[in-house]
Amino acid sequence: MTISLLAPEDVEAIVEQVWSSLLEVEPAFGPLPDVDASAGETWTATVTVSGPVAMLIATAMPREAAVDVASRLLMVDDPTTEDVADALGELVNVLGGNLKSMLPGPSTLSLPVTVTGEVAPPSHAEEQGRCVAVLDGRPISLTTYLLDPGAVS
Amino acid sequence: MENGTLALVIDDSRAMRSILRRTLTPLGFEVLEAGHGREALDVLEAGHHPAVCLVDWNMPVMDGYEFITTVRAHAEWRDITLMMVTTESEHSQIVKALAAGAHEYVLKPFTADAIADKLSLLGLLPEGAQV
Repeated sequence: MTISLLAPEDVEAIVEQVWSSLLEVEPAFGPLPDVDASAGETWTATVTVSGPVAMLIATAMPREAAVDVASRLLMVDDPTTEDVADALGELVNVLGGNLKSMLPGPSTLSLPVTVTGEVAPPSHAEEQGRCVAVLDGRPISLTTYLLDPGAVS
Repeated sequence: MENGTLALVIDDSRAMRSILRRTLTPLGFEVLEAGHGREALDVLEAGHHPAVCLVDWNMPVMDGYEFITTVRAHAEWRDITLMMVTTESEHSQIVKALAAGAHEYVLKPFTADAIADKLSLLGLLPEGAQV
């Protein structure tokens, strides 16, 4: 059994704080919209925490939500693919930095990586928590994976 | 080269540079941008002399801490105010940055008011700036 390191309500509070500041919108954590998860392209941005606890932090969303995030961050109507990658990278960087502050230290945060598609965590990784918020009807997930679950069990 | 209202924003994210530009411009700053510490040193070596540098910690090529230590090693840049703007929240890192010569430390996410308040406390707001 793995000890839960991040309380769901604390993760939601961080998402709320980061979205309010960066995207100028309050996340909705209520019922998820009825969207076909298999339809369309997904964008995922990740950062890794290295330290006493090693953690992969990933935020994933449909392409339309990714474009919306980039538009809000850069204040442009038609963000380029590079803009979207940059904006999602900064979003997960700020989320990751704030989550890192709740973990045992000292630890370091990697530079963010943004990809199209889902991120497959390493086979030994263990999902630690998942939070889904809604931006203009589109789900944006934040998932944390313990990369060395044995170290904290 | 410039007057005292020049700010240099150093962050590898264009989105974050854009946010900081949108924060600083209404306060009366002229804003230059760099994507990492080495690029920022190039700006300084080109003769630009900002009143303040807003510096991210985690960046490729040259991170914010190395940038600060490099700037502080140059007497001609001693009057430049250095403000870390980062997600790096560990106490030991904050102490390390301040010991290296950073004047202020702002955690992301921040509000425009928080940046303005810090700049005001440092006496860096251009004349007539509305906080």
